[in-house]
Amino acid sequence: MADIFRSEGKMLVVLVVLGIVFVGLVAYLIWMDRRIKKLEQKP
Amino acid sequence: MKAWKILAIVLVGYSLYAGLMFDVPRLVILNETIRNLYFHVPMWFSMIALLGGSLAYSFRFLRSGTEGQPSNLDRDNQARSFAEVAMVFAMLGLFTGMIWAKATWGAYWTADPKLQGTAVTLLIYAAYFILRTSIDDPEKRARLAAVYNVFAFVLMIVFIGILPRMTDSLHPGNGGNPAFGNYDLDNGMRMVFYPAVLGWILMGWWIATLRVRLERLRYRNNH
Amino acid sequence: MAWLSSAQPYLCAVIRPQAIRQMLRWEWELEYRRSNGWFLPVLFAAMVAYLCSLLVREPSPTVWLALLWMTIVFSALQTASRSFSASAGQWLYLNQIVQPIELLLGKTMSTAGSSLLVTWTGLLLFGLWLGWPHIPETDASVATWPFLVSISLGAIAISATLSFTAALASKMDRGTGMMAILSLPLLLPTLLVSMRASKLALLGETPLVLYPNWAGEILMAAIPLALGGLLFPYLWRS
Repeated sequence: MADIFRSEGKMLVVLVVLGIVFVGLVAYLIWMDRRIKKLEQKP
Repeated sequence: MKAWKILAIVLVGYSLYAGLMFDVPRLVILNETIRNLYFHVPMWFSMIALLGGSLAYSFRFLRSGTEGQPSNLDRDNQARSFAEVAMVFAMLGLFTGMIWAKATWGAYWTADPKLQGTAVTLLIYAAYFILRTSIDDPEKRARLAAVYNVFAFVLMIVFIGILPRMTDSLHPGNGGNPAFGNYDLDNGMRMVFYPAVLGWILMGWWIATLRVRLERLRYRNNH
Repeated sequence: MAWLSSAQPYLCAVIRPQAIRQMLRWEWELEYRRSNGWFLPVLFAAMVAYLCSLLVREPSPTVWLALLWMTIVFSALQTASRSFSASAGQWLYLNQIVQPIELLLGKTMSTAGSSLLVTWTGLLLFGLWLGWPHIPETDASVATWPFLVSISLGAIAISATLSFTAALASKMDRGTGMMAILSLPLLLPTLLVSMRASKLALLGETPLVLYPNWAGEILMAAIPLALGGLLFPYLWRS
């Protein structure tokens, strides 16, 4: 198990990396959702 | 932003944090990779949920054309979009599974029924898309694709549900494998697993609805 | 479309045995009496069997079985794609005398019959050119009948799925080319069950072990038929 890994705080690094990926993708999704909503309301 | 979309983000975010930070049972061979449970398995649940949605829309499309009413082509659009996103999740599940398999079972692919079920599902729905591209008339395309969708979904469920119980398997929980039974999930993994599954299903649904709306806009622009 | 009057007796409230008999008689006339078209899939099975005999000299039972099923599948594909290849005038006539469900059932039955003929021919030719699978521990006389049952049930199950995909493909413009792509993924569950049933039969397993597999094969024939019955009216609308 990754006990040594964790005790040196490195698991947090993994979490932050994945967190950035996740936040980035979600932000893209939200942006696309808003964009489509705007286009749907045009005419 | 609708509530269910926010819920999707919250649930998946939670499963990401808890999946890495919370404790997990210490099992041989698997070690920390057991955390993949929170990310690899929800892919399959999402795929099935989306394929079920696609089936429902295909069904409603077929029903809409009866009794002299014009058939609702938007339903066909929905059916196709949901199947598309389901295929994306299927690929993700497949690749994540292959990596996990290499690490724990020693090979990228085995003759395991769950893997065979995945391959069959991908082939069945690949044929669905090929069927769609080879018909030009939108009405006929929608009808034939919907018929195939219903047929294919039932056969797929039969394959995935019944056959693994008939044979041995490397997958946990089938064929006499001890892991991932009630024992392990009771240890708190359920606290992360269930939200993860729900979160990813909602995510998949969100992406599928975006796809549907995009196609509707494109259709509106072309006509 | 005007269906015949409801004075005829009904089965399951939708299927008339009379219509099925008419359907089968039509198939018999068209395929067997007037033309020699039925011979084509038989010839196909023979050619594939001979090809297999050229590829391997004395295959192990596993390989033998695998080659046999490949032969059966592709010969059944030939059989099924022919069953829905009538001309426009013939379709007009057929659609007036039978309902869609009866059409599907009749076509499936005749395809199953042709498939059985083709399968048994293929099996015999396999025995002739490739020898019979030699499994040391089992007694050949015990294994023969269960093996034949496994193979036959598998052929029938395959025909059920293929009839439906043939109907689907016949509605498309370039359908005949598509039939293999559409059918093969859908056949995989049926094939897995049939492979298992035939392998267990060859190994000389007791009937108790075989019955669930045969039940599985029958299930894989019943499900496409039921689904086909449900979906065929939607498919056959135009």
